[in-house]
Parts: sequence; C-alpha cells; structure tokens
Amino acid sequence: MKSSLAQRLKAHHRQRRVQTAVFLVLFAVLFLLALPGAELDFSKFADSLPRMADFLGRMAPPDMSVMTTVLTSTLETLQIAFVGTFLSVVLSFPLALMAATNLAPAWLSQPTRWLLGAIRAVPLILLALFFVSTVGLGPFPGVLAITVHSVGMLGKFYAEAFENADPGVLEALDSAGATLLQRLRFGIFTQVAPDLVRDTLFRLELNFRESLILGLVGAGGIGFYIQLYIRAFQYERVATLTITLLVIVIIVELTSTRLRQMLR
Amino acid sequence: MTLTGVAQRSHPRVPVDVEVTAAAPRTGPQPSVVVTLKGLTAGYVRSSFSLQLPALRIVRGERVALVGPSGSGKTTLLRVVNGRVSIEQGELELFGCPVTAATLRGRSLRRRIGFIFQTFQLVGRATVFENILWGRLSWRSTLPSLFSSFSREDRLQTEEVIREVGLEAQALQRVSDLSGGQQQRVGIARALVQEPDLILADEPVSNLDPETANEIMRLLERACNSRHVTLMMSLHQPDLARRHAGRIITLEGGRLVDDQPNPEALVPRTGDTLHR
Repeated sequence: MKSSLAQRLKAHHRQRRVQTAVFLVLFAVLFLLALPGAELDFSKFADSLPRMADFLGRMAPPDMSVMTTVLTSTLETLQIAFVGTFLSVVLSFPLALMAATNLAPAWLSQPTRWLLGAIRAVPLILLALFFVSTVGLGPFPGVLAITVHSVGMLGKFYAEAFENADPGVLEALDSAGATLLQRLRFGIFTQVAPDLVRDTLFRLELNFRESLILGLVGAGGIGFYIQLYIRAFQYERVATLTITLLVIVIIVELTSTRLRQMLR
Repeated sequence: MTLTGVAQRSHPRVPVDVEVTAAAPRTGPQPSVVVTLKGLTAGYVRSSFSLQLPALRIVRGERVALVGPSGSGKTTLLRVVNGRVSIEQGELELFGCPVTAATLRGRSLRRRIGFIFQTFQLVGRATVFENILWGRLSWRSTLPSLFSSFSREDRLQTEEVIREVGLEAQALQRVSDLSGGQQQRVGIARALVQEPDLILADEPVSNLDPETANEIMRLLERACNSRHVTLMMSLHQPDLARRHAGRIITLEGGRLVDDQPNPEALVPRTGDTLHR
C-alpha cells in the first residue's frame, strides 16, 4: 500500500512537471509567433529617445491659463463615468440574476452569459463611435457607451458574486417561509453586497480612466481637449491636462481602494 | 431554476402531484397529532438510498430524537417533513391535514415549521439581531420587508428571543464573530421567532464540543417545552438523545428499527426547570 502511494505521488509529480513544461513551451512558441507582427525594434526605440525628451521638454512649463477649461472638462468626464456606471449597475443587476446559474435555469442563464460576453467583446471606442453617429456629439453618447460597455463586465461579476452566495442561507430562509424576493434580498444580496460594491467601485475607477478617450471621437469629456491641444502642438497645455488627470486618477483610485478596504 | 431550485438541486426529484390542501388553521384547538407518516417511501435521484417507514405518528409537545448511523435516513426523514425531499409513495400529514410538496410551499404552513441546521446557515456578515429578525419574514408581506420594514411586534419578539437564548450582549455583533455554540443559539432563536408548532433540528450539536452541545440541547429542550412545541431532531450522540428526548426512534439503512419512549428524559434534573 505504501509503495503504491509513493508510486502514485511520483506519477502525479511527473504529470505536473510535464504539464508545466508543455505550458512554458506553448507560451514561448506563441511569443515567437507574435514577434514579427509586433515589429519589435530596439534600435528604433533608442533612436527615438531624443525626440521623446524633446516632446517632454516642450511640455514645460505647464500652461495654467487653461486650468478652468481643464477642470470643467475633467468634471464632465467624471460625470460621464459616474452616470454611466450608475446606469450600468441598474441594467447589470437583472441581467446578473438571469445569468447566475444557481438562480436561473440553464436556458436563461446560458444565453444571458453569451450576451454579456458579446457586450464585453465590443471595444469602448467602437461603442462611442456608434453612439456619436446615432445620437450626436456631446457627453450623452459617452454615457451610453460607458453604460453598455460596463454592463458586460458588471453583469458577469455580479452573476459570479450571486453564484458564490452560500446556498444554505437560502435554504434556511426558504424553510422559514420567505418569498422568492425576500430570499433574494436577505439571502443573496446581504451576503454578496460587499462584492457588488467592490466590483462597482472598481468599474467606476475603470470608467473614469476609459472615458478619457471618449472625447477623441466627440463623445464629451477631457479627451476632446487632449486631441485638440496635441494637434495644435500646445504641449504646455497638454502638460496641464496630464498633471490634472494624474491627480484626479490618484484621488479616484485612493478613494475607491479605501472604500473597498472598508467593506468586508 | 428558481431560488427554490437551489435547495432542491441536491434533491431534484421535484414532485408533480400539485394538490393544494390547506393545513389546519392556527387558530382554534390544535390537533394533538403533529406529524403522521403512512407507508412512506422517499429517496434521492442518482442514489439507491430510500427511506421506508410504514407508519409514524408524532404528537404535540413530543421531543423525538432520531438516532442511527450515518446514512440511516435521519436527515432524509427531517427533510421529508420539511418538504425538501419529495415522497414517492405514501402520505404525510402535518397538524392533522394531508400535505404535498406544493402545500408545503405555502408560507402559512412553512412558518409553523422551524428548521435548525447542523451548519447554522446564517448570514455571517449580518448581526445576530438581523439574522433572528429574518425568521419573521414569513409573517410580513414581501414589499415592505424588502426595505427592512418590520413591525414593532417583530422587533419585540426578536428581542425577547435574543434574551431567551442569552445573546443580549452579542445582539449587534456580526454572526461571523461568534463561536459555534453562539451561532447555533442564533439558529435556534431564528427558528423560535417564527412561532413554530414543530421544530426540526438536523444534527444541531454535532459541530460543537460536548459541554456546549449539552448547553444547546438544554436550551432547545427548555424552549420547546415552554412553548409546547414538538421537536424532531437527528442526533449522532445516543447519550444526548437519552438525556433530552422523550422518545427515541432508531433508523438503520432507511428503515425504522426501534421506536421507544425514553423514561430517562422524563426525570427532572437539577438546574433544569422544565421537563416533561
């Protein structure tokens, strides 16, 4: 019996080593296959260093005269991110209930998962272009793009949180005569609320950063000024924008991290 | 699959006999027979195990212990009575009325049956008070309760039960911060606040040390006796059954092999105020 266990352990370890080796080889092959497409050229990079330094040099000193414009458009970006996140939460919640395999039948959960996957696969910039083309310029298409883009991720995360809820609590509440909605509210939501809030804050943080690019296609926010100043070679103004964005991103991240830490 | 399906997934033999039969109303004289099983056969899909009980009657106020080795059918019997395992053959009567799985879905009947779980099945991040208060959900209409709108009566009853199980000091603590014994007290309180006529306890003390197990059993016994509530519990420890149950039913391989009154538990013990 003892030798049998030793043999099985040996075989198990050998299998693990083989699996690791196969994985590493596969990864290396993929990297080598990808290299030509990426046109990796370190000499080109070295040649560009003086130009990079020149670019950065032209950004100094930052032009503070555009501060009001920068702050207003940053606020608009924050508003787009916030409203978009809020709307995506509202839409994600029912979709997640339909996607959770422990709450919905397979005929409903599986297509809902496919739908969420399909939404995730569409890049934000494409959504922004679509909504700008259909509803016009301004923050509104930006909000719509952020909303749809976030639903794919939040719906999936919420559904996973629901699936991780302890089914024993549901059984207990069911035994106590709670209705379906009561079981959802007290059995599921109470258990997973910290996860939902964490996911939402994370998404809000992402949305703020991602919504910077919305302005590039006319969907409102600070992105519009980024491309405007770069095209006009106004690098001092770009510096003001960059510094402001850096500060705001750090504040948003710190707040979000602190709030997530507070939840347990 | 709905939320009901969550619990049924492990026992997915969903009954098709949807016969809506009202259980006896709570008001008026209570029938003395609480549980009646006639020619019962019940089991699980993908399992050869089946519980077969020709006849069983449990009367009001009895404290019945189900004993037997693992896999003997103790939990299955409790789950049959609680409507979690459907009956293949035979009849189940609760409080004097025949019931089916469909009837057992009704809130008015469910609230009359409290269930105490081996693994407590509480929301760890909610407080003791909240976990117990949620035992009152069946008494409240759905919409207001979703906004945690409970009546003053609900809150008073919850407070009373918290005092009864000795958790006043922990009332606002998270359940996850409590010991196993304290968590089971919460589980018992949640069942009691339902105002049940029958309590089903599935291995209520198997996760606890012997001293705590005895305390919990005494608490359960006192609570049931003072309310004249019928108690059906599965127990692994025969000594606990002898100390706390007025009747011991022994199961083996899904069959009833012994059903005896237990005079030992009828003798008052020092320190215990309420015994049959």
